Amino acid sequence: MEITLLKIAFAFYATATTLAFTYLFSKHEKLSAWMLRLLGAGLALQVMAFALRTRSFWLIAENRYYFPVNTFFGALAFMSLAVAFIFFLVERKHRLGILGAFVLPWTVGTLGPALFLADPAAGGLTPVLRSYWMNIHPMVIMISYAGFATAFGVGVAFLIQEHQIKSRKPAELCYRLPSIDELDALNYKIIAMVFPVLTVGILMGGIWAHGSWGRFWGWDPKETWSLITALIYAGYLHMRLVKGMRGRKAVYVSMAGFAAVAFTFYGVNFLSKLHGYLGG
Amino acid sequence: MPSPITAILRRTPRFMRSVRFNILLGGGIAAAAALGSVIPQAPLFPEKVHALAHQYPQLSRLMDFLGLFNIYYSWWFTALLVLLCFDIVVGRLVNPTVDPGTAVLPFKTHKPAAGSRFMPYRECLTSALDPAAAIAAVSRLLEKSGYHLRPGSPATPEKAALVAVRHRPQRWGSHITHVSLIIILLGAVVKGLWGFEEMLPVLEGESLEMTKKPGWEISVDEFAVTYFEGSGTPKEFASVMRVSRKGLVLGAKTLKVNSPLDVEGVKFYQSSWGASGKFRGAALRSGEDSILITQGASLEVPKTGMTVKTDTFLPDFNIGPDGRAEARSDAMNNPAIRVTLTKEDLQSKPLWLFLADPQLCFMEEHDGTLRTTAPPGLRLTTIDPVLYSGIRAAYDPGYKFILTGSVLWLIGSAFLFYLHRRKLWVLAEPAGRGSRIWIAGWSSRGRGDFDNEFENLTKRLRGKLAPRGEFPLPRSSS
Repeated sequence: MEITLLKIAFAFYATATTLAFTYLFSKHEKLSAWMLRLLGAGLALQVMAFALRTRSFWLIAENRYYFPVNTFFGALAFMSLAVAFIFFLVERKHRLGILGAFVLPWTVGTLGPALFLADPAAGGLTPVLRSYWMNIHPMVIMISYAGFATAFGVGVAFLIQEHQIKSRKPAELCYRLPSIDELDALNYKIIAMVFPVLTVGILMGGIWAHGSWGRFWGWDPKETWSLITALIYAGYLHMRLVKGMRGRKAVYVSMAGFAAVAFTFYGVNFLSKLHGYLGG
Repeated sequence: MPSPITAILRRTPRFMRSVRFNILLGGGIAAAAALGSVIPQAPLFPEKVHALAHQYPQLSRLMDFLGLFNIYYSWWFTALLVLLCFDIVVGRLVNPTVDPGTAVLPFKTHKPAAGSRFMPYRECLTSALDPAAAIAAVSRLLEKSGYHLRPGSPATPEKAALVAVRHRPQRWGSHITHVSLIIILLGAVVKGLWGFEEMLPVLEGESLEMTKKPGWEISVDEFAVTYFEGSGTPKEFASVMRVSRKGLVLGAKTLKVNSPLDVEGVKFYQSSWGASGKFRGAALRSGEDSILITQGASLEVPKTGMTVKTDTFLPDFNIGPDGRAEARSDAMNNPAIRVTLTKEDLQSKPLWLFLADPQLCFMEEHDGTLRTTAPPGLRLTTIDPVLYSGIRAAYDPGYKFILTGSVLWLIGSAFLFYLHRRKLWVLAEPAGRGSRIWIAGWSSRGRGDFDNEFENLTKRLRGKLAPRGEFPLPRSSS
């Protein structure tokens, strides 16, 4: 049942993304409104699917009261939910419908592989994952990743807009996108909000590791790459707030940070089995 | 004129204290850390390092010399970390947070010097109000805007002045962040000097003496592992264990994952388990007959006139690159036992029998190499391995330092990044029948963030101060 709901949610997200792309080149405001409605409907369905999956996950006594994010399927599905939710919040506040084309592909790009490539079987939680940190640490980290994905989308929009403004013949798109100052400020605001979430998530991971393995930090590839990610974003905030770095340079640094996020989420699974609960 | 070497020596300390150098250093550390996640590291993946050394001996020797198989604990990586912390702290002491401190108004020049962070925001307004009333009007507006006010010290009684600040705790952000780095580094040093970690594979029913804590003996009386139905995922594994010193029990517990035992600050964690090279018993089938054999024992095989002896057990049989039998891991992935058959004083070469595939059999030559052969009519049907409980002992007196440092780092960076300290100096002096109001501003952030706020504030002040003509100064920031 939850898979069916997820598939419908995926269809909604995919349609919302298509509408967002169409809206880039069209003047119909209704497209943006419908994009938001479909996104909201997809979100509602995905929340229901998550609730159902949690219910079936809890049928195994050992899994009770833990959220089903222990597999690659669970992590990807949660990630798409977080991206959709964060974009929904940003969209509700800023009404920058045009940004959907740059952010929503991440929702489709994470839920799609979950549905069509990953194994949906949840299985039982291994003893080390049966800790209250299981409900906090991975989710906090993934929420921060979702925020960084949104900031990355805003960064792409910034680069397009800047290119349009500098070109001799700016296209219609130039007039649809927010100003580069607005995009730059939004990119910064999202990163500034999400960065402490990431650092708190990393700190929680250290505390959990100390409780389970007897060490706070072990230079496991996942830990190493999350530290690299945090260092890049800390550098971004430092350069922006203290040195006043703005514009394209700042966007490039934030994009380097997101490349580190993507590698930490996907790439590191090929390097380490310690955080291999994302396997499958 | 100084020589080039003197000039370089003079410039180097300044460059090393600069933010640019620290960013480069941070980037270098991040690059080295990334490299360590790609190159197998000996503490995490010893078997991969071993395989690489076997495949590329010369390259591996060079990499080992450079510390590339143990990057995070290599002298140069440690030196980079220490240099970064030292540099940040020294940089902080030598270049304290930029704050113009007590301002002297009116300005000597209308425009701050290029690159100066001293009062980068400047404005001069006029008002029909007398200085005291003008300052009172400014105070009301700034208070509404969330500024904390403090009376200034005008040089003469007829002037009035005030200093206004917002988000004052921001100045602590930098100090807290830098102190937190020292505490984290201190934690790592304390752990390195006095802490230890030790992996103790204790066989069920046996004891093992710790090497890091001489005299301490770890005993595992029972070890049990259960699996989720229909899968190889462990549901629970636990050891009934004791820690003793000279026969005196210091602590005992049924040790489970995520529930360590604390003995005098040394924590014991249930970390892993695996099959040792021992087994309690194995069942062999010969035709209709079944025999139960223990490790090292000889037994007659019914109706054959043969005796069988088992000596070696591998839980995860594999043929190594040298063609000899080896254990790939200590998991029961491919259990196999080595048997020797004897008939009428003739002893066969050792044979390997497999639990998973009764048709598979290897004969071991004198040099240990293997070749396939026909099964001898004996089948391995069950095996009861002796498991070991992997107990990790850890003593980390630096943990509280690291935790405190990390929390402080979070608080400090939150102060530093999310609070935006602004300072305004206002001086009102008599001018004709009214007053002239000098306003200077400073912001903890780089150019941009305070521009609009300062502009809006002065715009609103103009409205409040009942202007009688004004001569604004060119606003500029650096």
